[in-house]
Amino acid sequence: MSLARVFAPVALAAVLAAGCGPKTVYGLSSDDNNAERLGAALAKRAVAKADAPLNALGKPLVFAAVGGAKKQLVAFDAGAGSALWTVDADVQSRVAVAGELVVAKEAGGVVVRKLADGSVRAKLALAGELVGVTTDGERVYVVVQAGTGPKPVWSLIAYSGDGSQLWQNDSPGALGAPVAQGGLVLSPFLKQWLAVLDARTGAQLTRVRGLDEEISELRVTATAAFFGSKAGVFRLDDKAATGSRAGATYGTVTLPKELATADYGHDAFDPVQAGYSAFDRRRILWRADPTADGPFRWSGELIAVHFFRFVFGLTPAGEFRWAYSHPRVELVASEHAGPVIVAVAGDGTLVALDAATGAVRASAKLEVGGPVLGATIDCDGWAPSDAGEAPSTVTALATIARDRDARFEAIKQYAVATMAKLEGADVTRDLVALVVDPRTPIKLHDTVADLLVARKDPTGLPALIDALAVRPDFLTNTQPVGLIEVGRAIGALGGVSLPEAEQARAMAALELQAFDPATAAPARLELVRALIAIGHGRERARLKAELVQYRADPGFAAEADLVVAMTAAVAAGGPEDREVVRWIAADARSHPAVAAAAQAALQPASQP
Amino acid sequence: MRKLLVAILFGLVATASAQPARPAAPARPVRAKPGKVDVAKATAALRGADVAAAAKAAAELGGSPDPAHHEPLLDALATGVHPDVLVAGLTALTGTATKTDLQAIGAYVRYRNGAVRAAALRAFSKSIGDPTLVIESLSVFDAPVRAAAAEAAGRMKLTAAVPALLVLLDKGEAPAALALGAMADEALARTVAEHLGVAPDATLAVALGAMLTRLEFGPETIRVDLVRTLSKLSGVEALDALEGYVEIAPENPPRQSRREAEAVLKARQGDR
Repeated sequence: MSLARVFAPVALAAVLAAGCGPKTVYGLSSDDNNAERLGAALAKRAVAKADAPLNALGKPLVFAAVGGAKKQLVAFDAGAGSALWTVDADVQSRVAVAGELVVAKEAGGVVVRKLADGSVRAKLALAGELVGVTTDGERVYVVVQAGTGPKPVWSLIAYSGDGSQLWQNDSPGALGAPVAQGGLVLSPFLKQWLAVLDARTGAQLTRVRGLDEEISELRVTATAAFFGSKAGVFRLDDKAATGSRAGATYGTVTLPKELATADYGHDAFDPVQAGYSAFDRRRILWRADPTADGPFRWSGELIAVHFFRFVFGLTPAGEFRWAYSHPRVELVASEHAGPVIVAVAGDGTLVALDAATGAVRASAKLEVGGPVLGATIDCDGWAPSDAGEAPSTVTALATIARDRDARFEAIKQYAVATMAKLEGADVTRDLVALVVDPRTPIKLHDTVADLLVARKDPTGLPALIDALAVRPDFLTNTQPVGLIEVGRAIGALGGVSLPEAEQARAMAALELQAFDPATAAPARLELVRALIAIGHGRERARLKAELVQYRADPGFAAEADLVVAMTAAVAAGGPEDREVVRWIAADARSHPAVAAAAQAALQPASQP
Repeated sequence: MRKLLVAILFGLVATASAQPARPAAPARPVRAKPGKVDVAKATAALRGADVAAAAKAAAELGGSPDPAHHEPLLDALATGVHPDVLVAGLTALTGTATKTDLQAIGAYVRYRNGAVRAAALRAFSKSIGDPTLVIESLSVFDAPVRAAAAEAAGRMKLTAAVPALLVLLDKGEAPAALALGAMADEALARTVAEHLGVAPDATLAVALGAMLTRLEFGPETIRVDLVRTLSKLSGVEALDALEGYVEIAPENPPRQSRREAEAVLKARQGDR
């Protein structure tokens, strides 16, 4: 069928509808924030009582736009783990799904497909640049911007599922991508207003004006509608008529700074976000429970943040709960479906993560011949039977921290900072692994080193001791790495009570490295400082012997801080120890710098 | 004080070497003996701040065949002196160290200064031949220490050190090559020859040359094989090795290996 033949009836319908003439319902003055009218409009709205997919099959479905040589649209039944259908389609916008309709901009115009088999039901010519398209399963709503001169016009046009134009509202100001729900169309206007329209006629029923922040993001589920901005989310209920955060059911979350670029939804006014883009890989994933008259309530008191390959479970206050690291490939789409967070990766992998724990409750693979560019996830209420095994948070965070992708430095910083707050030997072991890995970026390395010191976790001491076990070996070209950092971390345990056996083991390991000829001076200093910190005097005999042996060695004398630390530690001992220090200070063969340090250590002010 | 310091340093030896504690050195009186060494003068020099004079004194005392003359040097070793003095004293003790000297020497086999460490290792291994210490020292990052260890391994014909020496051979270390050359039997010679193309030609030539110049090395079949391997190596080291072999190999009875070596030298006259 030629394109002309397909679009002919649509164009005719448009002409007929145009006979009625487009209405201009948008303006700067209106009866905004009228609680009575908003209440009446919402009373007319038909919404489901429980979360469920918007599609007529009631199945958890994913609609994936596939790029590459053969562009396709794949409808995938996540519950069954198999494709519902696959059609050739050059998808150029988000896919909107509701009832029996699957709608998206494709090459040449907006295409309405049948949910059952993906076949084309109608094609709609676009009289301008697409701003957004949506459907409520009965009608299709398209916003376009026509004219690029001084007086552009935005139009919200409603079509039947068969492509007949039903009504058109024009606007002299910017309209955002609309959403539709239960007989209402929600149309954002100039980022300041949310027009609530009768879906059947296009008539404006009421209008909400944002007093505290702009209105640029919209979301509907089977049970509720929300609007808001990058700053937060308003529930569209009676209280929304106040237009203010204080008066409305308003929620906002506090994100760690490393994740703060994530958004609650898509910017309805951004033409880039009319299609799938990198914005879909950096999102706050959330749901909200209905509240009778109370404040905004995030479902389960948890949200998640999708950040490229990673998903973090957080409290609304930003406290870390769990992490998921997707192997190798980026997650290009994600949605909070209630019980699970559903995400689709660029290679077609689908995962369903338990919203409370991050456990992988389901996974599947879309058979695609090219990269998945983006996906619309219509899986609300889906609860896979497998409860999944709660992942090791430490492992997930460590995996993120070790990721080789240089784009994620901030996220790695966040991962290690989060790890460091967790308790347990494994955490220290993973942090040490990062410190000794030469591939760890310098900034991250330094952060981890500082965190290791700040942890002061005695349960991590075995991991630190193990890190000292690597011996220098010319034959195998092996050299211990991270001695300074490990030394500092052990030294930080000086004020912590350690089991005697662990203390002895740590001291032996420290001595072995500190006094190995291959150990560089800066590392020796930190190792000796650690020895002094945890030794509580037991290190004195060894330090004394080293002092005696090296006191005349210019190489040792050049390690000024080490000399000071050692002489002070020995001088802090008993009379016999001080006698040795006194002798070093006085003997002609002692290097002058060592003798001076010994003399200084004997002064009362230098005694601890 | 002296006893205290000796005890301190001997404690260090026991800790550092992680070996069973050795008996403490008996306190011996310093006896000045008439003759070549003026012990009193040397002792005074050792206790002074003049490093050059102390080093000279250490060499005199350590080189004395009279164990009693070592005592002031051992005191110096036990109480810490300048590395130059240590090197002089330890080097001098290499040929004269007694069992009781070894504990003081042992304190320096893991010293941080490479020259001191190498000198201690030479003195220690020549006297006592601690295989573990020698093998351990082959893997340290200080080249002089590795060289001393390789030398000891070759002298001790320490077969347990062969794997390490082969690695060093591949890394181009001549002391390891000489050690292998000093200890190789027919089987080891073949193993070393198999490193053709892996080890640098010059180093391999040194190893094979060292084998061929040992009068007892044989049988003739392996000598022929080594000469043929040398003939495949580039560089003057291979020619030096062949020349060295021709010099020590008897003319009679005639040896095929010598004839082939001479032929190679003649053919490669232009290589020099």
